[in-house]
Amino acid sequence: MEITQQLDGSKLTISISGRLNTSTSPQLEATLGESLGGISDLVLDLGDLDYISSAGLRVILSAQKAMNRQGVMKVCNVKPEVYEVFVMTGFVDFLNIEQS
Amino acid sequence: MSSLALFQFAFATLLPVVVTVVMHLLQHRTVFGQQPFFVQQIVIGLAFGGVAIFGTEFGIPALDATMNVRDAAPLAAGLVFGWPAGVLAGVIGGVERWFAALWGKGMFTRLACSVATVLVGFYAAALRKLLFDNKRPTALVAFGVGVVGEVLHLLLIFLTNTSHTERAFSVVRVCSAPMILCNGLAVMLCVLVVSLLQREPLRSAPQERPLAHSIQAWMCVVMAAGFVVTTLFTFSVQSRLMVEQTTALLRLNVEDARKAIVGATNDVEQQIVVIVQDRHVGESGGLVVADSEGTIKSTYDTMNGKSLDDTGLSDVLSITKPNTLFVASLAGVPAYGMYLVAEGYHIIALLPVSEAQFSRNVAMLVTTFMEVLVFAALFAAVYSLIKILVVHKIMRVNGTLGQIMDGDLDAQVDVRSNKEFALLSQDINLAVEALKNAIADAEARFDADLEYARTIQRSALPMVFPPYPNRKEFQIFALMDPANEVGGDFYDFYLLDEEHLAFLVADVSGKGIPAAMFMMRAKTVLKNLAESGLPVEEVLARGNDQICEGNEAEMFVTCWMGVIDLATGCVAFGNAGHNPPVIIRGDGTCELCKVRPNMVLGGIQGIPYRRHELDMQPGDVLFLYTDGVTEATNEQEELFGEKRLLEVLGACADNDVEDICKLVHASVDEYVGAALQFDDITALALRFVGGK
Repeated sequence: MEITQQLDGSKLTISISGRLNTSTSPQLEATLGESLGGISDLVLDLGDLDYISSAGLRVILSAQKAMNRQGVMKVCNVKPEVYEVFVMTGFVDFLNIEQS
Repeated sequence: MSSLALFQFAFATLLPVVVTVVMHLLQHRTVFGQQPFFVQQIVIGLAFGGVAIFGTEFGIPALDATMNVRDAAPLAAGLVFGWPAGVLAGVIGGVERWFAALWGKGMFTRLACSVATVLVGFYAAALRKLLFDNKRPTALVAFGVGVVGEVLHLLLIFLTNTSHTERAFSVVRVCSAPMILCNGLAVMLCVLVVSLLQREPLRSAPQERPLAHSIQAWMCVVMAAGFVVTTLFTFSVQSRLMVEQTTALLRLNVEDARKAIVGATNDVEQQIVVIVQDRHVGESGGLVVADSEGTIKSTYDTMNGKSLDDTGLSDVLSITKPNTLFVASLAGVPAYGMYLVAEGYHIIALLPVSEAQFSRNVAMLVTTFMEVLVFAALFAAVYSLIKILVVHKIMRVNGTLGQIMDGDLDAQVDVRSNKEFALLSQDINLAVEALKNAIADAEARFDADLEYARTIQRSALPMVFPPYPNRKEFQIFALMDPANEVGGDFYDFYLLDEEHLAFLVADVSGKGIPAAMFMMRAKTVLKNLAESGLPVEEVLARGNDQICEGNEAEMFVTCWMGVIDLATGCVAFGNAGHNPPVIIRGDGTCELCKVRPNMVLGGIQGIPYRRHELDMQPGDVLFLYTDGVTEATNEQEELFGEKRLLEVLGACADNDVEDICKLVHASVDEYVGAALQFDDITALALRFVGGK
């Protein structure tokens, strides 16, 4: 998994590629923990994300909860196989998702 | 030295440096670097052989020899690039020097120079291979190597010309300083320039500096200091000895002459001539006798008839007491002298300074050169000893520590060559042993705890089948196979009243103890709510709220929960982010029971859950499972998948509910094969028999 960040004022875009599973999601959690201060607009670009496990879902849920308090969050470029997971777990109801 | 010669020498010094840069760039920036090792070495050896030839051909003629910067080429090739290059360059330079005598390049030093150049090639090769671990030495050491190589060369001139010591000495005296300095500098610059090209810092931080380099540097300083001190000491002793010997020689001569003059019976002046002509002081010194007016009556030289004033001697005599040593300049040649006055005559003995000092200077030069060699040998010996006794042992200890850090706690440090290392080894081994015991203890405690946890978790799930032996209108079976000792999956079922059976399958995010604890909580919450008589969608909604409360770990659980009306076969259910179950109809057809799932439980508080309904006909089976089934992965990293699940279920539609669950589990196990079971596997099958 690889994480890249792009900061534009109070708008932060985080691009995640590869597999977001039990072993990689702590890295994303740490990144979010460090970067979310003062951010009012968070975009998670999952354009290159191939797989997401429940551990990954947990981190995204945490991010959504954090952004509910301080701004907005959008998940974009979601691949069909990842979108399927969001549907199956009911996350589609609470995430602002744009499919690729 | 003229400015042209100076320029020529500077150029010869820098040429090996330029070639070093070119070769280094070729090696690191072009395909040349991908050629086989020996091909590269031969090319580099040829290039530096060329540099050595240039050094010979464009040297500066001095007396019988040619001053040159030839030896720097094989030294640089050997030290910077590799031993074969050094040997080859040395051989080329040496052989060419031999033949160069044919076209007038110093016949006198031919043998010494040829042999020396070949030797320094081997010398650099041996140093790199044996002393420097096949790496470049530091610049300071490279300078030392250059100096020692050149000293070896100059000593060889003595060795090969033992019958012409004086001539050899004069050659060496002229050549030594510039040749030693320039060759040393050239080799040092070659090493420095490669360090610069590789962007190594000139002075690395202490933690980056190998112990060997620090030892090299300190030994250089100590040896240089030792060298200066012993050289100065030898020089002062030798000089005092020289003065004493000269004084004794001159005194003997003036004394003899005085006796002869005092004892002369007839013509004194005639006697004087005889005395003076018979006597030689040393090889080229002699006596001068002058009368009271200062007219020289007889001399070993050509000063006959002149006055002492003309020779400048009278000034010296006027300020010097008789019988003491003085230095005078006779026609520009400095000489030691001593005089006596007898019968009105001045008797003066003179010895050229160069002759007086010759043996001292030869001794000094040879001693200095030998000292350089001795110190160099000492350097090599101490350096290798430290490397063998300390550095290598430390590396061995480090190697074993590396093994231990990689998880091999059975690795033993076994360096017992000295008391200190034996103690270190022993202490490390004891520390690792203690650590191993502590880990084993902790593991044992943890294993015991885990075993308890496993027992508690298993006993929390209904394990007795059939659970309701006297209820004929349904059959139910379930199994949970955790990937680890404890799991995050669970199933549950209970009769709410005579006509309603609640059943569910759930999957907690995460694994291990945290998931197991979360699972126990979720299970209890759902059961309490369901047994209070709430409809299934309310059980999920309120269950979600309760699980969300105090969910610091932000875990969540997916859950499919249904309540079947045992009279009608109507199943009311809700899906909190869980996999869709499979309905197996009495005729063997299977399909996924897909609805739009709600959010997982524990995710977001205060949200509603939808109620769905499903009719079961007598004979139909509802099969619930977790993603441990559909996402089981084989060795080719392919998923088991829903399609394969439907196939397996289709084939066992008529089986007993227990067989259905076990068959699915067996199919998954078979599919996974040698790959590791990664997730918990849970299955629950409910057959509606009906007929109440």
